[in-house]
Amino acid sequence: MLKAQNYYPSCPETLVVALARSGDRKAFEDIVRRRQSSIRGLMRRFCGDATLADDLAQQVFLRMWLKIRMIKNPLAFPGWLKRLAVSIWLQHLRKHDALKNASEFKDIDLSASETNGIGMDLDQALATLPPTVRLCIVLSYHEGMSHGEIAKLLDMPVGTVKSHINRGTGRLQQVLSAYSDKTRAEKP
Amino acid sequence: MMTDHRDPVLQSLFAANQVELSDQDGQLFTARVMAKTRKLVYVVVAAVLLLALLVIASALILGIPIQEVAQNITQTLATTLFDLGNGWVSWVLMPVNNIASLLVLCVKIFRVVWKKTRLASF
Repeated sequence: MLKAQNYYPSCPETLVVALARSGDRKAFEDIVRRRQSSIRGLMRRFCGDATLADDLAQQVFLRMWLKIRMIKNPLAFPGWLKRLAVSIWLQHLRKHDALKNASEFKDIDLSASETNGIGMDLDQALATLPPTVRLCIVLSYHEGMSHGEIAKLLDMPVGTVKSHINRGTGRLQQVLSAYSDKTRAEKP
Repeated sequence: MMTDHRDPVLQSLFAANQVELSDQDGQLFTARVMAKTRKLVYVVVAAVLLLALLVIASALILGIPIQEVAQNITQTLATTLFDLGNGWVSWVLMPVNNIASLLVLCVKIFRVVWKKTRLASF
């Protein structure tokens, strides 16, 4: 006989979240399976290091396991999980004092050299940004969030988010200018 | 409506470079997380038991002094801030006219200020 748990992968996420909230371990496991790829991807964009990103993603899911009972509305789960991921990343930065004196851009010159492949160059370019600028850029371009949503998520004024994104975009355009030239050249 | 302009070149670079993780890798990651949650269960249970033991032990040893301190604190918190006589105004304002309300207000203000200063560090 098939157990109800075998149907979890085909159930709507809100239902699985509600079950996990009531202490169902299999439901929790199913959420981890569903969400691990996006959270690990997000963490990789934040830190540019696959091993560290996986460690941080694990922390996100462990924190989720401890706090999942606090979710009142399962529909709010995706936003809640993203907030958790951002808060783990900010904690990591604070622990390593990365937020202190972190308003300056680091030096890198990709425009003059040959490109190493989109992924590597994008990670290198992101690594030159100050942590909070990088955070806003990743949430905007990688996650497709609006400035208002980012401001709400990070508890920041919208103006500050816009300013971070403008600064970061300018810097990335400068560092990744080789790709802009390529795109222009490819256009008829 | 807020305009969220995104640079098209950067947007295409981000889109072209989505992090792809294999299914097998995902299964391994999930298994690792589940193994850690099992360990965490033991840690949480041990912590709860330890806390319960500490509470019981302190209740046995310090029960009476704690009760006296709690009584004193309750009396102090209930002390009225302003003498408003015995009229209806004093009855209406009774829930907020005490030290406990003042403390709650101070905590709220502290939280707001702390949040603002924390934001300033961004």
